[in-house]
Amino acid sequence: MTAIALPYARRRHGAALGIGAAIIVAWAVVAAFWPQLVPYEPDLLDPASRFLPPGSAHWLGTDQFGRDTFSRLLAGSRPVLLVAPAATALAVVAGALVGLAAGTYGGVVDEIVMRVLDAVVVFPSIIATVLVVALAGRSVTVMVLVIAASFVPIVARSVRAATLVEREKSYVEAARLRGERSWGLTVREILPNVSSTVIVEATSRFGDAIFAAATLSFLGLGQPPGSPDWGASVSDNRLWLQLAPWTVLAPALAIASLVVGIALVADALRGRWEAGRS
Amino acid sequence: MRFLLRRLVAVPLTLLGVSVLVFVTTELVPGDVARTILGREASAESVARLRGQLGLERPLPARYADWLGGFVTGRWGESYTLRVPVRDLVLDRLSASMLLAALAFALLVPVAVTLGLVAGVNHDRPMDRLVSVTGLALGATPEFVTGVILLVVFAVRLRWFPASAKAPDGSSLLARLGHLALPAFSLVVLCTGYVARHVRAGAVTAIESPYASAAELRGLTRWQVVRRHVLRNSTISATSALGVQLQFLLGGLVTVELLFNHPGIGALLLSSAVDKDLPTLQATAMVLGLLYMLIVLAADVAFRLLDPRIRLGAAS
Amino acid sequence: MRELPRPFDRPGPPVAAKHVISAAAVPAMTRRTLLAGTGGGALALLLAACGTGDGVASQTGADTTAKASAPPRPGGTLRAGSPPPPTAVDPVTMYDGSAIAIVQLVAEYLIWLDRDFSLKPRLAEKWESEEGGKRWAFTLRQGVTFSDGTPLDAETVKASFDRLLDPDSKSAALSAFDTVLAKGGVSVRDAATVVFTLERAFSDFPYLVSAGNYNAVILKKDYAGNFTKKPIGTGPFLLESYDAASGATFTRNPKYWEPGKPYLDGVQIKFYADDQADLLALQSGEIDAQILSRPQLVGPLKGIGDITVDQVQGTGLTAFTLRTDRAPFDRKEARQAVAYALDRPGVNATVYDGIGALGNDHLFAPLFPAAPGDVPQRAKDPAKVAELLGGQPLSFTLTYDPPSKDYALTVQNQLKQAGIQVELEQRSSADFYGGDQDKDTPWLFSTANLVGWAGRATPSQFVIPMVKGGGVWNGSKYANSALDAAADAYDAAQTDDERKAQAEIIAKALHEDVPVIVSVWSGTVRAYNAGKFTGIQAHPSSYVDFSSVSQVV
Repeated sequence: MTAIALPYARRRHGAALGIGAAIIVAWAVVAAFWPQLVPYEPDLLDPASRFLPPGSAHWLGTDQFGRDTFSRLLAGSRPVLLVAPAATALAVVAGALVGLAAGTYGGVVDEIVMRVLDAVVVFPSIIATVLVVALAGRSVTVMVLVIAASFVPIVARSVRAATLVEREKSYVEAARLRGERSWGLTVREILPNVSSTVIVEATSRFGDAIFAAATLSFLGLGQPPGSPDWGASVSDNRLWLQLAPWTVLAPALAIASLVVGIALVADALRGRWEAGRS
Repeated sequence: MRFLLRRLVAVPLTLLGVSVLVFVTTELVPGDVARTILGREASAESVARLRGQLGLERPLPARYADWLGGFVTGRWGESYTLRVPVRDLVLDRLSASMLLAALAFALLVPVAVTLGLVAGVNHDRPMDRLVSVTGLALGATPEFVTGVILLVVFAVRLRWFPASAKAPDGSSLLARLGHLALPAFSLVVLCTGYVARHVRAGAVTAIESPYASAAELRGLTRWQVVRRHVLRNSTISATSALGVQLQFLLGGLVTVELLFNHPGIGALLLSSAVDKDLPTLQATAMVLGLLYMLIVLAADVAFRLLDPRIRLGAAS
Repeated sequence: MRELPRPFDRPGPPVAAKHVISAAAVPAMTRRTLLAGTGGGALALLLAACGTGDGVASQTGADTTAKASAPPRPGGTLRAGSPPPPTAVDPVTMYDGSAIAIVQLVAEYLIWLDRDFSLKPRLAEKWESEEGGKRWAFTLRQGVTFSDGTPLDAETVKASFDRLLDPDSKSAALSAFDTVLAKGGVSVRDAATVVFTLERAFSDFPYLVSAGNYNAVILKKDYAGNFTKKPIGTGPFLLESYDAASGATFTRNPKYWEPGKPYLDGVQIKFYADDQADLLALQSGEIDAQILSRPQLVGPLKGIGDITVDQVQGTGLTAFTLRTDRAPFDRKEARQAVAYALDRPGVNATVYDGIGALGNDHLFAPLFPAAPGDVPQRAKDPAKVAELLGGQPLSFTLTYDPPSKDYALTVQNQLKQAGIQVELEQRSSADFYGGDQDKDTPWLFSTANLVGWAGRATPSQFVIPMVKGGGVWNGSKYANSALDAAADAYDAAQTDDERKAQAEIIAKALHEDVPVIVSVWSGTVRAYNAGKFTGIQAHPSSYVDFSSVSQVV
C-alpha cells in the first residue's frame, strides 16, 4: 500500500470541499429553477437593445439579438448539467475499465486493446462527427455517446499507464504471491491507487465534454440552434468578443467555475478517502 | 525489442483499417464534391459531367483499390478541389504545423513540469490550489477565447506580435517563430493545466512514498528529494500525459490555425473533410495517423526506459 | 432537368465565401478529442458559394469616387484580406468572391457592372441591338493587348464565349445563357465587332456579357484551365504568384490600355479562413482592406482609427421560401399569416446591422428601376395574423444552412410571439445544397427554407428561376400562368413603361400569394484603411476594381 504520509490524514479538506460543493449545488439549483429566477425570457429577441453593456436593466448586458446575457447564463446551466456529466461519467467508467484490464492482464489483451484504441484515436473524428450529425439527427443520447466514445481512449491510456506502474510495486507482487487472482487484485489493490489518475481524468474530461457538447449543438446535433448552452453561447458570440466581451466571458467563466468546483470536490474527496484508508 | 517490433508491425495495419473507415464514412456523409467545386448555380448536367471526370461514379471498392495502390506506391493523386498534387500539399502543410507544434511543445513541457512540481511539493497548500485551479480554468476556456484575447492584447493593442502566424516568404527562422508566438501561447494555455495535474499527481505519490519519506528523514531537503526521487517519477506520469496531449494539440491546432491564419495540417484536414476532397483527406489522415502512432510509441518507449520496473519485454 | 422548360437563370454575383465561414465556423472548432482535428462549424465552409444574403443598403461611404481634387499619387501596394477560395481558381467555373476578385484584377469583361448597376464600357466600347433585341453587336476597344502582347480581337472574344457555351465547360454561365444564347450563337463580323444571335429577344442581354455574369471574362484563345499558372488577361494587374493557402500577389500591368492606370504598384491578397482573423488583421494593420466585409462585423469598427466602411445599396436577399404545394403552406392564408407576423425592421436591425432596405415579399428591390411603387408595404400586424389563421394553430419546420442561422433564429422568435411555432432544422451547407435539384435537394424541396442570394443586376435573375412555373430554383413550387406571361413580357419589353407595367403584375401577384417572403434587401460593405488608401469602394456584388485606387496623398 502506498504509504500515506501521516500529515495527509490530518490535513483538512473542509474548505475546499465546501467551496466546490457550494459551486456545484448553486449551479444545480439554478439549472432546476431557472424559469423562476430569470429576469427576462432567455430567448426573447429585442432589436432595440442589442449589445447593451452590463447595467441595471441587464446585469450582464445583451447579445447581438438583444437577448439578456444573465438570463441566458442561468438557463444555460441546464443543458450543461445534463449532457456533460453523463458523457464524462460514461467515458471515465468505460475508459478506466478498459485501461485497468489492459494494464492488469497485459500481453495479448493489452496489445489488442491498445491497438484498437489507437485506431479510434487515429481516425480523424471530424469525419465521424460530420457523419453522426448527418445521419443520427438531433438527440441528446447520441450526443452523450459520441462524446463518451471519443474520450474513452484518452482515459484508458492514462489509467493503463498508472496501472502498469502500480502492478510492479511490491504490495501487488506480494498479493500475487498470496495467490490472489488478477481481477480481484486489481479491484482491491490497484484501483484505489490509480484513483488519483482517474480523478484527474474525470475533471479534465468534464471541461472538454462541455465544449464537445457545444460543438455538437453548434453542428445542429443535440441542442437546438439558439440554445443558451454555455459552450454554444461562447462559440456563437465569439465574433463579437471585442464589441461585447460580456457575451463571451460570462458563459466562459461559468464553465470555468463549474469545472473548478468539480475539481475541488473531487480532490477533497480523494484526500479524505485516502486519509480514511491509511 | 520484441515489444518495439510488434508495435511497429501494428502501425501499417492500423493505418489500413483507418483508411477503409475514412473511405466508407466519407462516402456516407451527405454532399457532393462535384457540387462543391462547381457551386450551387451550375446545372445538374455539369455536375454529372464532373462526377464522371473525377471517377466518382465507379463503385466504392474499385475506387478504394485505386487509391490504395496509388498511395503505397507514392502516387497520392491530385486534390479534387484545389487541383494540386496531394503529396506536396499535405507535406507542405504538415511542415508548417510541425513548426508550430514543436514551438508549443518546447514551451509547454518546462512550464507544465515546473508548475506540476511546485504544486506537488506544496500539495494541499494554497500554492497547489492556485496552480491546479488556474490550470483547470484555463484548460476549460476554449482556445478561440484565449486566442482572441491574446490577439487583441498583443497584436491589435500593443502590437508586440503579428496577428497572422504566417511570416512573409523568405523570413528568417527568428521572424517565423515571432509570427508563431501567439498561436503557440494559446496552445500552451490550453494544455498546461492538464499536463501539470498529471505531473503533480505523480509528484504527490512519489513524495508520499516510503523512499521519499526515508530520504527526508535522512535530512535531505524537500527539493533535494524532489530532484533525486520525485522528478523521475513524476516524469513517468507526465510522459504518458504528454502523449495524450498530442491529440489535444492536434484538436487545438484546427482552431488555432484558423484563428491565427496559419495554413497547417489541421486546417487542411478540416477543409478536406468538409469538402469531401477524398484524396487530400485520406493522405492527411494517413500522415497524421502515422505521426501520432510513432510519437505515442516513442512516449511508451520513454515511459519504459524511465521506469526500469516495467521491463522492456513488456507485459508478459 | 433538361426535359424541363428551362427559363434562363443567370448566375448572380459572387457570394461571400466568408459569410459562409463566419456564421458557423470557428466556434465549433473547439477542441480536442471529439474534434481531434476537427471543427465542426467549418461545415459551413461547404459550398461556400451558395448564397449569402449579406450586405446592406444605400448611403455611400466616406470617400468614394468623386472629389479627388488632388491628382492620385502613384505607387504603393494594397494588401487586402479575403477567404481562401474553396477550389482552384478558374474563371470558367469560379463562383466564390475571392476567386472572382483575383480574376477581376487580372482579366476584364466586355462591360463592367458598376456599383449603381449601370453598365460601363470596358473591352467593348459600344453595343447595340438589332432585330428587336434578337441580335446584339458589340464593338471592341482598339489597341488593347493581353499581358503577353497578344492583341485583343473579335476572334478572341468569340473564343471566350464559345468556351463558356460548350457544355463541357461546366460553367455556371451555361445556366445564365440558357434559352437566351446557345453554342454557335457567337460570330465575328469584322476584327472589331462580335455579334451574338440570340434564341429569343432579350432586352437585358448586355448584362449577360457584363461582369454581372461573372464567368464571362475575356481570356486568350489558348486558355486551358490553368489560370493561376498562366494568368494572362487584359486587366490592370498581373498575377505574380498564387498559393492556395496564403494568397496572391499582383504587380501593375505597365501595358494597361487606360493611360496612367492603375495607380498602385501592386496588390496583395491574403487569405484568411476565419472572419475574425480577417478582422483582426485589418485592425492590426496587417491588411489595408477587405474584399468581402460583413456589415455586422465591420459596422462597429467604423471610425475607429483610420478604418472606414463604404456601404452600397444592394439587391441581395435571404429568401424565406414556402412550399405552396404542400401543407401547411398550400393555403395562401397560412403564407400571408407568416408574412404579417414578421417584424421587418427588427430583422434588418438584428441580421443586417440596420443597413438593409425593407422588403415587401416581391422580388423587385427598391434599387431596380422597374420596382413598383404602389404596392403597400407589409408590416407586422398581429390582428391580421389572427384573422388569417382563424384560430387554427400553425407550426412548421424551417430548414436552412449555417449562414442563415441568425435569420432563422430571428424568424423563429418573431413568429413565436405571433403564436406560430417554428422548429429549426439546421443542415450543413453541403447537405442543404447537395442532392438532386430535380427531386430531393433540401433547399428546393423542404416545406420552408432560407436561401441566401447575393445581389443581382436585374430582377429577372430572381423572378425567372425562383417563381416562374418550372423555374430551376423554384423552391416554393409556385405556378401562376399570369405571372409567367408577365415575366416573359418583361424580358422582351422594349420600353421602360412596358417593363414597369409587367413588373407591377409580377410584384402584385407575389405580394398577394407570398411564395417567397422577402423581409429585407441587403446591401454590401467594404472596410478599408482610409489613412493609407483612397478610391476603395463597396460593390453590390463585392466585385473588385482597384484600377482607380491610390495611396493617400
